[in-house]
Amino acid sequence: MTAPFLAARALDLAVGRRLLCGQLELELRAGECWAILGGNGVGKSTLLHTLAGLRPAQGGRVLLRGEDIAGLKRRAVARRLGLLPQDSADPFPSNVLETALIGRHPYLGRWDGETEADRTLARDALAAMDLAGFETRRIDTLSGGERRRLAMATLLTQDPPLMLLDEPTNHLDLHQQITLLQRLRALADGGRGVLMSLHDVNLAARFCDHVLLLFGKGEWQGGITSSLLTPELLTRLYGHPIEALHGTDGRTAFVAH
Amino acid sequence: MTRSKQPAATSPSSLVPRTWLLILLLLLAVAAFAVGLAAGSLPIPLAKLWPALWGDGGTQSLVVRELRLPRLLVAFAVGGLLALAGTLLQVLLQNPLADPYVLGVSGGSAVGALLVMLLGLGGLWLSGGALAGALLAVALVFGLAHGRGGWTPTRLLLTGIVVAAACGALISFLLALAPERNLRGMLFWLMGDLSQGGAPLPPLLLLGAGLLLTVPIARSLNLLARGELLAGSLGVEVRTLRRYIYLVASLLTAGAVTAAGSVGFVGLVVPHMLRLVGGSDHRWLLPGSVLLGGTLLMLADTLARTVLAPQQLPVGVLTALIGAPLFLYLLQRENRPS
Repeated sequence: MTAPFLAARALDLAVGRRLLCGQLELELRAGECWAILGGNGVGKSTLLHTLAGLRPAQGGRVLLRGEDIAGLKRRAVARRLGLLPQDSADPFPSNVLETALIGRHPYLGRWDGETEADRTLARDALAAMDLAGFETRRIDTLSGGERRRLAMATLLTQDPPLMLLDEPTNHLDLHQQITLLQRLRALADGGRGVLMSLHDVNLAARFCDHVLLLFGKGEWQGGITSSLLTPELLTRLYGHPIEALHGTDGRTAFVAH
Repeated sequence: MTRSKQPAATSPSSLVPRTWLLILLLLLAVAAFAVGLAAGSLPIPLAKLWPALWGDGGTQSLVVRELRLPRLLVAFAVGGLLALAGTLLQVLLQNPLADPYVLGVSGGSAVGALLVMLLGLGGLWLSGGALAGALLAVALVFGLAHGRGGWTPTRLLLTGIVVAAACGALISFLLALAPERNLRGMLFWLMGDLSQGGAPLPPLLLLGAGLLLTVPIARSLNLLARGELLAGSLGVEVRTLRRYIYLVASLLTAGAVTAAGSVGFVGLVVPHMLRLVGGSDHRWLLPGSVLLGGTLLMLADTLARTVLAPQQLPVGVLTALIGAPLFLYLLQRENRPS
């Protein structure tokens, strides 16, 4: 069996003295789509940043196709793994196409400019995120949802085999949320790895085959979605009573009291 | 499907192609250079500039070659150095309000140089003092802003402002100690002065080196400007790049301060203006800043020695007088609701 896309081995995560994950074990393989679920401040973003190699862990290792991520150059990591941050900062004027094109950075040499092929990739990514025709718009004129889709288009332009996404559905309307998750599911089905933090249990249940539950204080539980998304565990996860409603078509919806 | 809105505002970059912008900036620089050579207490007609520049032995030739040419070259180099340093520091802090002055780099540089002047030394000692002061200020800002858990742009900016204020106090202290005969020279130098007649070659070489050191990392700067998380996830070694930028920017600032004293606002206004016109791609912004910064300082210095002729003003006074209202105007224009 080949090494998994991404693996965490005995990973300890802490902020100050607060333990977020203790001895976390995780294996994400090609074709899998994972959701990280947990309450506010439980460490979802910190975990994603650590798995992306952008933050040192307090213990344990992160392996990218079997190689320790700490020993890899950032450029090499960026060709294998991309991150959609929770929010984007744009203090300087720029336009939409330029912003999507920065996704090509890890593939370009020091003196290279973007080629027509890079531009085509970026335009396709923008079109996929329903931003066709926005190429020359200034980014400070975009709405919150449009900015979010632009950040997603940048990740699609980067086109890494493994995608880590920090609350990708933020700011998106219902239609855009579903479209985005369908796209991520399709990317996973096409052989990529997807790992995202989500706040909507039902979206996780519908689109993700695996979930990682972060309970806080270092406790976690990971595995197949259908076995972990139970009213009991979710109630414990969010500290709020949650029940499952079963529809006639066999689908289950989780509802908070 | 949701309806996509039609694009309303066009990007700054699509207004004028950037190559043309660079050519335009180059032409502006050449024009400012010619005006600077021609204008002064001995006006020289443009038609006679060329022969005078190549030396026909006359008074005009002497004035152009010995006085105006070196001074203009220093002005261009200093303006270019400050604008380049400003562009770099703005990326470092992800803040369009950053420049060498705000961060205390030039304050430290000035303290070092004034200390040397107070000791009655000059020449190379002055450059050494300015560089040592700049690097010391950098080390202070770096060290203090770091603390636990790395440095954020805000903490860096705040630390820089405090260090700059402390340098201001030190400067006043040194001025209070200074003997009467040194005072006027020190004051002029503090306000930014190009009348000392320094050699143009060192700052020009430093400017060339600055471009060579920064143009290769221009695309990484584009990424860092959008946040360290994004830059890191797209393959930039953020810590290394940040240190590199701060060191290069300090070196450039120290060079500018050595050559001309404290000239304010160029490092702040120039990158800001260019970003508004042509967007924030540093592959053109770095050379563009050098050209526009150099042009502005050549023009300002020409004005400084002609407006109240034969009285010469410190060029720093003029850049502040032009720069401050210009910056306020740009800021206000930008904040206007579209």
